[in-house]
Amino acid sequence: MSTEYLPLHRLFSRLRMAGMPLGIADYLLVLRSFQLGYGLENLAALSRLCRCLWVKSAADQEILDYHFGELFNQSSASRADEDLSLPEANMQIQSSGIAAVEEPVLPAPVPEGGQFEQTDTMNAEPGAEVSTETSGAALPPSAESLESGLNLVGIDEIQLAQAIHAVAVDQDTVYPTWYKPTDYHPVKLREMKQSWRHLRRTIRAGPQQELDVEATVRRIERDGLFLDPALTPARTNKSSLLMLLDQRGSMSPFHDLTRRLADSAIRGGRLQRTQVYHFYNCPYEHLFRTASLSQPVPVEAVLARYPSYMTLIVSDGGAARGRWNRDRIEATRDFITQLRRLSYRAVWLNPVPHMRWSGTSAGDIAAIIPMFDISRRGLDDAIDVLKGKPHLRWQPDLE
Amino acid sequence: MDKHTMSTRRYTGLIAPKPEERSDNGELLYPYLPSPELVEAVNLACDLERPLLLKGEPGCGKTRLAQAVAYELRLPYQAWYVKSTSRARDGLYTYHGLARLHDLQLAQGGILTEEERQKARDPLASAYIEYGPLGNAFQSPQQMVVLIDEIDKADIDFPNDLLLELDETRFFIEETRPRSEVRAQVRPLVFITSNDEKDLPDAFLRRCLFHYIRFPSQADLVKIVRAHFPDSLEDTVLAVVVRFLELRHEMEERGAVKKVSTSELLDWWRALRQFGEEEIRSRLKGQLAFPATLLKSWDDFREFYQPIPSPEKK
Repeated sequence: MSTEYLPLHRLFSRLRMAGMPLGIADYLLVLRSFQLGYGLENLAALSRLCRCLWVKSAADQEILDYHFGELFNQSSASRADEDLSLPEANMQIQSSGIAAVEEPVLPAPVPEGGQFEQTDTMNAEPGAEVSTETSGAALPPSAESLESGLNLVGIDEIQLAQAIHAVAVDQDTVYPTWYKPTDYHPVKLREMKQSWRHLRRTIRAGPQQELDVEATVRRIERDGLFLDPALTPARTNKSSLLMLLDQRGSMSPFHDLTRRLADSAIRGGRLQRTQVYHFYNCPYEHLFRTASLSQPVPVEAVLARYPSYMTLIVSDGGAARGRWNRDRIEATRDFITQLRRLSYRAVWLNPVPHMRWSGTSAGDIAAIIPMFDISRRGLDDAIDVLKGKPHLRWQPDLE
Repeated sequence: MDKHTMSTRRYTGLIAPKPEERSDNGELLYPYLPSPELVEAVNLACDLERPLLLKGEPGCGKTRLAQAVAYELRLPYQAWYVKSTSRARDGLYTYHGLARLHDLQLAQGGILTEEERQKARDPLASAYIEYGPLGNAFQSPQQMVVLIDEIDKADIDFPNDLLLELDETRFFIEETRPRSEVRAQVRPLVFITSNDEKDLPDAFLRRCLFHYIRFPSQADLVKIVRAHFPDSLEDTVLAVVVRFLELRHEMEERGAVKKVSTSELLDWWRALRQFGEEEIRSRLKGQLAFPATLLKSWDDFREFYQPIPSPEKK
């Protein structure tokens, strides 16, 4: 009798490390579905089951497909239609279920003499050798901890995993010796969305729809009779954001980051309106509607069109290349003055950490406008300032 | 027999309304043809007692699934079409406080009958509470199918406000003294659709099962058209569907404001079928016939519709 080993817990932990918000309840839900008879016919059915229970978006789907493919790899592609015979599957599920309930961190128990080729001893102790038979399935343990330490999210996690995998197969090194520039993710997408949700300015505006209880009571008091209720407009979120993103040149490595910032602000759903414009190096004379710097619009036109919007500028301000340029500073200063005349509040986000600002144009610009680095804390502080919190100007000697 | 029965039948997607059959409010019913994965997802949601969240292109049948399931399983059906101003409480109940205040005032004036006065003074205010779709479902002794349509239209807090109600199937009526609780006798089958315009909060997503309704294949599209129009010829429908898919493919390649989907195909067929077979086939060549049913924006018109060339002088 073959003891089929279902690396379900392994799949589950990989998905968690990839950033999917799964909890023990989700794992138990899959086990319960097994008991009801779902997902046991073949691998395709199992994949559909995991998709239905764990995946909530297209990005999650790709992560699941990737890890699923890794764990149930080509050597068992022929097994895709084989039945996982029910009693054995139940047996393994029971034991892995118990393991999960008692100690969620431990992996499912490794059977002896299992015919499933993905039996990997990796999880048992760190530092165990990579079994040559499992070349498709496992990541080296140090690489796994590296993954979690890097806080990668989404598709880029797949790319890094592939890079590590490609390197590890050589058996020379177990960590990548170079990073692609698009791997820089100081703030996770989820964290960005959470931060944007704090950017709220709810005021009562619009048609009078809600009952104003206090005013009604006062009216009754005054008139002695209840004739008409007093209405007040409903609360809406009036925060509108104008994002100005620096593109190309020294900002090329940060394109992914700025795009994510813009996407999460637009799709996060809290803000009433978000407008995104792009510029090159310095917002001078023209802003562009697209990231490829086409469709120019004069700066005055943009600012006049969106008065009283909160403004967020994302640019390295010369800190990426470590340059100090008087013309750039002056042009930026003029722009900020123009901005302040029309806009509600403005802040600056710098993808380069603040340790690198002094001695560059960014340092001088930071004295004119509140500047923050792009980290969880920096983004939250920037949003606080946009909401009205007073801000202490950055100074180099405050390091 | 137990009064509180859950449906033990499984959804198969194979039981279809007969032609010309109408629903309770007089609408014509058409067959709904789900994919096998969708049928599996529906049954999984029923067995695990979780809501099913559906996403997909506009016009691919997200909203109609709930009614089809209710039809096959012969369960009562309630729909809640969410608006941008919707609050979570609207789906549970609405308390007509002003009406009550008005009645109390009239009662003071001595105008009402004794019965009306009792109604106004009732601390449970039962006459002034109107239950919404979920409220009705919780109170029903029979399992109900509830559709929450386009949940992403509302404010982002809206799904989070429904968490307790979806999890524990109970809610409180705050306006009565003492606060009264409504608890479901039987857990309803909840279907939720989203247009994916906004991201939904994680806490809400974790409680739902998820299914993405893919665009049907060519064979499925033929079946769908023939299910709506049983007297149509298969070959003609196939020719129309092929042309339709060519247009859709072009739209995917060149980018369109609104890609054509199943509902546009049905409208197009409805316009085309008034002609004979020969005429239909000739209209499939050359410029797009009845573009108004397919192209929904000026940019799409300019991109995909070639206007009739002016007739040459003989």
